[in-house]
Amino acid sequence: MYTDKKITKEDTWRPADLRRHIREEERGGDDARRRDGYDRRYRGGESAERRHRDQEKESRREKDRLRERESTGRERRDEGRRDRRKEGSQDRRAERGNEREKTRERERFVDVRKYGDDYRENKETRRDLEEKHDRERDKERHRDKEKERVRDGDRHREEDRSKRRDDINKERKREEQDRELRNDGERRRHKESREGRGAQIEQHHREEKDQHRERHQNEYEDTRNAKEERQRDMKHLEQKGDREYKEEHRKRKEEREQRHRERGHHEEKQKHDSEYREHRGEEIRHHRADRELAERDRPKDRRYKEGEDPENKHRERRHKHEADVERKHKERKHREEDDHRDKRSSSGKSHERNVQVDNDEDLADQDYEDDFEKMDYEEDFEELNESTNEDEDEKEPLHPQAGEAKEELSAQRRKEIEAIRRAMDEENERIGTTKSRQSTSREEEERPKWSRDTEKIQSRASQRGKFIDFVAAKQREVSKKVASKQKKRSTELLRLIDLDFSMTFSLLDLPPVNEYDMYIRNFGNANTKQAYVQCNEDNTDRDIQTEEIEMSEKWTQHPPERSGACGDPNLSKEARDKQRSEMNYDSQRLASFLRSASQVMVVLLEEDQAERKSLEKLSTQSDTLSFSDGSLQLITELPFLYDRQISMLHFSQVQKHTMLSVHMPTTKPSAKHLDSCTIICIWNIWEPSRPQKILVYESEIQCCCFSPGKVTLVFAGTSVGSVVLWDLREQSSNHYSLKMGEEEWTFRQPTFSTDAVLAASGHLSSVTSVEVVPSALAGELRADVPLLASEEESSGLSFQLASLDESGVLNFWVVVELPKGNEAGSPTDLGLRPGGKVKLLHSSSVLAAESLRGSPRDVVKTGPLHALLLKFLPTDSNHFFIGTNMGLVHHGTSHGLKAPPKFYRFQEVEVQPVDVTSIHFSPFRPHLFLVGCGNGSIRLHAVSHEQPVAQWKNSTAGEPVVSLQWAQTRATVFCVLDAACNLHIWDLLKDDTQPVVTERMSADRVTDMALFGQSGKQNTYSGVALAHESGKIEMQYFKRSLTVSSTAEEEKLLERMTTEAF
Amino acid sequence: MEESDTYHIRPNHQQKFRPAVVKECIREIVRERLSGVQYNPEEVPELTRSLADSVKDKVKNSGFDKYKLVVQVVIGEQRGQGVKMSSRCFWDADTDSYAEDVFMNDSLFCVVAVFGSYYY
Repeated sequence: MYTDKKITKEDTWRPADLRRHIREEERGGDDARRRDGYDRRYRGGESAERRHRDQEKESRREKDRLRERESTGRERRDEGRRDRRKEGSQDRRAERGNEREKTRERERFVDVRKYGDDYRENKETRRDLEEKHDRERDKERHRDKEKERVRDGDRHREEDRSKRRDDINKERKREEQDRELRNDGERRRHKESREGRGAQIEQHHREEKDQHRERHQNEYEDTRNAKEERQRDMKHLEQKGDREYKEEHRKRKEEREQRHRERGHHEEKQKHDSEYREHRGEEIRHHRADRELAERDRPKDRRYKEGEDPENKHRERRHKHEADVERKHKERKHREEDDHRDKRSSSGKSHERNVQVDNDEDLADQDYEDDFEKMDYEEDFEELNESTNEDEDEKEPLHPQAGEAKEELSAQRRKEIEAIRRAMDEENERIGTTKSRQSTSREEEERPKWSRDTEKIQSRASQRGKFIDFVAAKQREVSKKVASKQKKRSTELLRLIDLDFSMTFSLLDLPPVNEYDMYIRNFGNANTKQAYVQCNEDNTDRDIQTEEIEMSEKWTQHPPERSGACGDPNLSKEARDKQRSEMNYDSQRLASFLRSASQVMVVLLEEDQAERKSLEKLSTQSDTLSFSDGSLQLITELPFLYDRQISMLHFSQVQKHTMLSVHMPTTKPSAKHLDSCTIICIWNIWEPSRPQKILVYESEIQCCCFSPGKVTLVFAGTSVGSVVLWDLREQSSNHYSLKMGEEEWTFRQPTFSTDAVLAASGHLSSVTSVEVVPSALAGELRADVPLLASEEESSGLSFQLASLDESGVLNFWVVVELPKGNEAGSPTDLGLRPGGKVKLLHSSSVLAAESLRGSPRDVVKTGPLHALLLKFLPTDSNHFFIGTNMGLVHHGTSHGLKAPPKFYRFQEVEVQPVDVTSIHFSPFRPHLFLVGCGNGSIRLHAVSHEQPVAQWKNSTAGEPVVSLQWAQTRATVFCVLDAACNLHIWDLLKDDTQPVVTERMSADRVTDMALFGQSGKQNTYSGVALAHESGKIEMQYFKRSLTVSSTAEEEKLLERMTTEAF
Repeated sequence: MEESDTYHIRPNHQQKFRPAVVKECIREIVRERLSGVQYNPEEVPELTRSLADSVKDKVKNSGFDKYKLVVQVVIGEQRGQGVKMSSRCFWDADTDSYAEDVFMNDSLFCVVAVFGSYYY
C-alpha cells in the first residue's frame, strides 16, 4: 500500500501541467497516459494480469472462430444479420442493465452526497473510473490484436480510415453547420443526427484509438496512406465491406460477451465477474462518450440533467439510453445507404477528440485521486462489485421485455420528454444565474476529489449555456484556481503525511447491571434493621493448664525462744519479718555471745574437773601448805614450754581470772626453733588445761602488762630497749601456727614493735618496766567490768603507756588503734605488722634520772640512782613512783606538779644501797603501798609521808624480797616471797609484827608468785599463783580465814595504823 | 520550475493536543455541571448541547492553535442497562488525538469525547 502510494505519487502530474501538456500533444499525451495506466494496472495486482492473459487466450480462440466464421460468414450473412439483431438486442439489454446500474449508482451517489458520506461515494465513483480505465485498456489491447489480424487480412479498412482522416477538416466545417442547425432547435432532425452520429462516433472513437496506436507504433502506415489515396475509388465498396466487417466484429464480440455471461453462471465467479465488468465497463465507456457527445450537442439536455432532482436525471438518462438503443438499431438498418452519415461520423470524430481532451483532463484528475485512494479500499470494491453483479444477474431476465416495451413506447415518450424539457428550460432560465453562484460556493466546500465531477458538469453547463455568463465564468475560474491550489496543497501535504486508522477507542463500557444488584439498589436498604448479632464476643473463657505452686511458710528457731523447734503456719507476716530482722541482728551478736559463752562453758567444765582433782590433791597435799584451801596446777607440760624458767606472773586487774606467764628462753638445745624466743602464755585460771594465747618474741622480755579494761593488748618491754605489743584480737589464721603432736598451736608475733623504728625517741637501754597510765575512767570501771563490753573495747584503746628503762628515761606512748588494718603492710608505720591495727605513738619522754639527781645528800654519795620499778598512783595518773637501787622510792609528777614527799625512805636516816624490788598499792586503800627491798625489809608507806607507816626488818631473815603483793579480797593481808623460797603471809589484823604464815617450798624453787582473788558476794575466792623453777604453775587457794573478811574492821585497822604512825 | 511551498506539518510542542489537559477541562466542566443532576429527558438535549459548547470553548482557550475540535457529548439515563461506546478515527496519529472522560452518578452517565485534528 505504502510503496504503491509513493510510486504513484511520483508518477502523478499536476493538473495544470497536465492540461497544458495534453493540449500541446494530444495524441502523444494520450498515449503516454495509456501507457501509464497500463503500467499502473500491472502494478495494481495479479488478477488484472490474469485477466489479460485470459483475454489473450480468448482472443486467440476467437481468432480461430473468426476465421471459421469468415469462411462461412458470407454465406450466412442473411441469417447472421438476423442473429446479429438478436444479439444486438441482447447486447442492448445488457447495456440497459448496465445503464440501470449506473443510474442506480448515480442515485446512490447523490443520496450519499446528500448525507455527506463522501468517502464511500468517492470510492464508488473512483472505482467506476478505474474500471473505465481498465476496460479501455483492455479494449484497446483487443483492438490491437484485432487490428493486426485485420491488417493482415484487409487493408481496406485502413485505407478507409486514412481517407476519413483526410476528410476531418472538411467535416469540421460541417460540424459547425450542424451545431448551428442544432441551435435552431430542430429537434427531430437533431435527434436523428445525434443518433446516427452517436453510433458512428462510437465506432470512430474506437477506430481512432486504433489509429492512434497504429500511427504511433507503425510509421509505415503513413506511407501506405499514399497507396490508399490511390485506391480511393474503391472507397465506397470497401467502406461497405469495412462496415460489414465491423458489424461482424461487433457481433462476434457480443457473442463472446454472451458466452462469457453464460459461462459466468457456472465458472469461477470472480474471474468472470471481472471480465464481465470489463465488458460492461467498455459499454459504459461507450455510452458515456455517447452521452457526452449528446450532451454537447444538446445543451438543453445538459441543463435538464443538471437539475437537482435525481429522479429527473435518472429518467433523462433512461431516455437517452433508449434513444441510444434506437439509434443503434437504426444505424444498423440503414448503414449501407447512409453515405451522408459517414461524413457526419467523421465530424463526430473531431467532436470526439474534443471530448477526449476533456476526458483526458478528467483522467488526469482521476489519476490523482486513484493514486491515493484506491489502495486502501480494494477489498471494498470487490465486495461491491460482487453485489452489483448479483443484482445484475437477477435483473437480466427482466431486461428483454423492458427493452422491447421501451422501444415501442419510444415515440410517445419522446414527445413527453420534449414537453418536460421545455418546462425545464424555462426553469433553468430562472435558475441560471443563481446556479453559477451556488456552484462556486459548493466547489469551495466540497472535497476536490469529487467536486471535480460537479465541476465538469458545471463547466459543461456553462459551455452549453444559451447565454455567455461572464460573471459565472470568472467565478468559476477563481474557484477553479482556489480548488487547484487546495488540490496542490493537499497533494503535497499528503505526500508528507501518513493518514491511518486509529485504534478503536472504547469511550464507555458500562456493563449491564444484573437483576439482583438492581433489586438491591432499589429496595436493598428499605425496612432493614439490625436485630441480633450471633457472635458472643464478650463471653470469653480462659483456662490454664499448669497448677499453681503450693507454698507454705516454715520457721526454725535459733536461739530457741519458743517451745516448737520449727514451723508456725499461723505466724503473721509482720511477726515473721520482725523476727527475721531480729534474727539478723542477733546473728551478729551471736558470735560474740558464743565466744564468751564458750569460754564460760569451758571454764565451768575445767573448774569442775579441777575441783575434783584439787579435792584429790587436798587429801594428799593438805599438810604441805598450811594456808592453802586447795590448789590447781596449770598444765604447762607443753613441748614448747619444756625446760623454760618462768620469769614472771601477772594478773589482769580487770579480768582477774586472766593471767600471763613469761617463759624465758631456754639455754638447752632442743628440737624446737622457738628456743631463743621468749614465750608469753595467756591463761584463764579457770581453764588450766592449756594457755589461751601464745605470744612469741625473739629477745628477752623484762616486764609485761595488760591493757586497761578488757584484756585485748599485751605490752612488753624487752632487754634490747624496745616496747612491743600484741593485739590478742587478731585472727589466729594471720599468725604462724605449728602442729605439735595432735594439737596445733598458734604463735603470735608482736603486732607492733618500736625496735629500730623509734630508735631516736626510744629507749637506749633495757626496759625495766612498762605500765599503763591509769585514767580516771579506768579507775571507775574497775569496780564493775562487763564481760561483753564491746563499747569499751573500742573506746578503751585511748590510753597512754609509760615505759621506763634502766637509764631512767620514762617514755610515754599513745596507743592508737587504726580503723582498718593493711594486709600488705603499711609503708609509713614501719613497726606495724602487716594486718595489724594497733600501734604506739611516742608522745613525750621524761628523764627520771634528773629528778633522781636532786635527791637528798646521801644519795649523791652513793652514786647515780638506777630506776628499777615504775608504779602509778591508781587514782591519779600524774603521780608516778619509781623504785631505785638505793632503797628509796622516788615520787614524781608528769606535769610539773609538786608533790610533798620527793622520796620515800627508810625509817633510818642514812641511805642504804638496797634495791627496791617490789612496790604494790593496796587495792582497798590506794594511798597505801608496800615496798619490798633487797635486804629483806618491808615498808608500808602512805603517799603523803616520806617516812613509812610501818617497817618490818628481818621478817624474811635477811633474804631479799622477790615479790610482795596485797591480797585481793582482804585489806590487811599481804604475801611476801623471798629469794629463799619462803612465802610469808601477813595479816595485820591478827599480827602486825610478824607474818601469820610462813611456808617454805624447798622442793621446787618458786621463781615468782602472784596473788589473785575476787571479792564477789557469793563466790569469793583468793589465792596465790606460784611459778616454780621447773616451769610449773601452781594455783593455791587461800583458806577461808584469809579470803573472807570484815572490810570495815580491816579498814579501821589501817586507818588506825596510819594515824598511829604520824 | 515551480517553487515548492513549506508547510507546518507538525504542531508546536506547546500547542500539541494534550489529552491529559483536555481531559481535565472536560472533567472540570462535567463535574461542575452534572453533579447532583437527575436525568430528565426534556432537559438533556439542551444540556448536552450546552455542555459540548462549554467544553469546546474551554478547550479552545487552552491554546491548541491550529486544531479543529470535535466535541461529542452523550448523556444517557442509567437504569442498569449495558452501554458500549467506541470511536474510530482516520487521521494522522502523530498530530491528532482525542480525550474522553466519563461522568456517572446514580441517575445518568455522561461521556464527553474531544477529538483534535490538526490543520496543516
